Amino acid sequence: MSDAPATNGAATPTITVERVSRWFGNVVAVNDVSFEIFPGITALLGPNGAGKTTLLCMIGGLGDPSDGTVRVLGEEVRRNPAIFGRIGAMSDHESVYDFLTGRELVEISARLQGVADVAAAVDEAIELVDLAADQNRRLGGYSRGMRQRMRLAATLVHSPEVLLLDEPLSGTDPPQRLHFMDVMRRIAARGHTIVISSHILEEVETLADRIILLTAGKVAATGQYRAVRQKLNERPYLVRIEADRARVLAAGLMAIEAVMSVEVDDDGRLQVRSRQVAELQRALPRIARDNGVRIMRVEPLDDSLESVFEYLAQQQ
Amino acid sequence: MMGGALMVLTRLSIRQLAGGKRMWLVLILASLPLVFATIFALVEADMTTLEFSNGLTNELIASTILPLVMLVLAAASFGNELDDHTLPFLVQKPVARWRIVAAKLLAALLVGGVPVLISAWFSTFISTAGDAGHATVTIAALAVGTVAYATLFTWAGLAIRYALPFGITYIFVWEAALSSFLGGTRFLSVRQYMLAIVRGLDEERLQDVTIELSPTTGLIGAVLVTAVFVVLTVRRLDRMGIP
Repeated sequence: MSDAPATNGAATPTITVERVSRWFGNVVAVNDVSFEIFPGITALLGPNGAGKTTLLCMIGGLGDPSDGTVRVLGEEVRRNPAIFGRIGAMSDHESVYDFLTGRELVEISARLQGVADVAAAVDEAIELVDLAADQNRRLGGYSRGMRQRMRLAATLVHSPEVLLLDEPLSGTDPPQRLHFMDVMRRIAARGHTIVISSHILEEVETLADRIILLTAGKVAATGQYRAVRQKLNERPYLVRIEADRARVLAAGLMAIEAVMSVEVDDDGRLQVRSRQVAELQRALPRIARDNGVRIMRVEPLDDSLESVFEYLAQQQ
Repeated sequence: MMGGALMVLTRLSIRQLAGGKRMWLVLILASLPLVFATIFALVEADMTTLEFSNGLTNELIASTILPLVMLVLAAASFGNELDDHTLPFLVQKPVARWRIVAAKLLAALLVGGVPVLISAWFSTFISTAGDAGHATVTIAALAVGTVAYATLFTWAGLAIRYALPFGITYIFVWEAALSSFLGGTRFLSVRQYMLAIVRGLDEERLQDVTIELSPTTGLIGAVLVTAVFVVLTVRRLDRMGIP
């Protein structure tokens, strides 16, 4: 477990995805996607059905791309079992061999990986996920979060240079998430490459060095978290405002630069479109006060992550 | 390490197959010949020991119990992994695909084949009034068929979505019904291979059964089925998209 990986240096990508497409019949799951992943933590972010799992499966050698190439540590992954000595992969399915104890699962993984000192590596991996006290219980009796953590221990028991984790935080409670993030940071600090998929932006914001945002099988944005977040913030927001003097407030709002448009609906409610939502938040109370308007309710209309992803997809 | 990997995978697969209700079904099916042979030995019957023993081998063990037990276990060896989505745990390891297939086959043979063969030996021994030669020859031939069935149904469990209906159709339609009036199908019947080998090894056995294959053809057929389906299973595991 503690062996440091043979890192490739910061400039060399650990994972290269080049013009990869994957279709199932008429359904295009991944469409002409290219990116490189370097040591550190990278998040594959996108709504359900964006193609994250399909991409991770191809990177993890579980499926062939219909077109394009995937290389990990400079090698093809498919039909190359030897490379799995350097990769650890955890699928999004939570199924495990329920009849095994947690320790047995990690031990089997270590033996199949050819780890030299199995007992020490297993101890360390289980310690890392903080499940030493429950290691001899059957996996069938574990909670969802515990199972995820023990699967993680089995995935990293051979200290892989590349860790591929598909929705690893599903089923974990907040303390477990914090612990998981801490573990990931410690592993990344050793120079390993970690790829984590998630459909929850907040889940990865404090964890990932870099984000690859996928929507509808395409890369919508890539870069550091802040850059992607900035891009998200620049999208137009739609906000509904209920006020006693709607038309007066509308006139006041139209005067500020942050507002793109204002509509008053039949019920007298305002629908405000703004590209600088923070500026709108600051200006709204001031405009209301200056014009003697009483605001009853402010409600974002399209703040779901899906609408964010949809917006980014339209920008491609 | 790699020999160790085969051992680790085999032990895991044995535990997977031997757990739960499936094992009870195997043990009940495997014990049936023994029960019938014991009853035959205890009561007076209108047939000779050899006639009863032939019926036991041909109509109960070779045509029903052995193929059914191997179907239930061998089809489940990969089928369970696919249903439970645990196959990535095995294939995302630095282990050659053929070792994974070998482990699955070994597990199915040990969990299902061994109890049936032990039961076949004792039931033949009892029903032939203690003739160890007849019993040993019988299980030698059945062992060849057991391996062939194991490879066929292991492949089915990996490659066919509905492996059990496929296997049942093969056992009860292809081998039992079609081969009784379509002579050509006997060349593609594991049961016929087994019976041909039994009669080749022991001329006294199965004289009342229609067997169109020579013992050599039976042996070659069984070896071919085994080899072809091992290759197909390894190839399938190597090329399929794993869910």
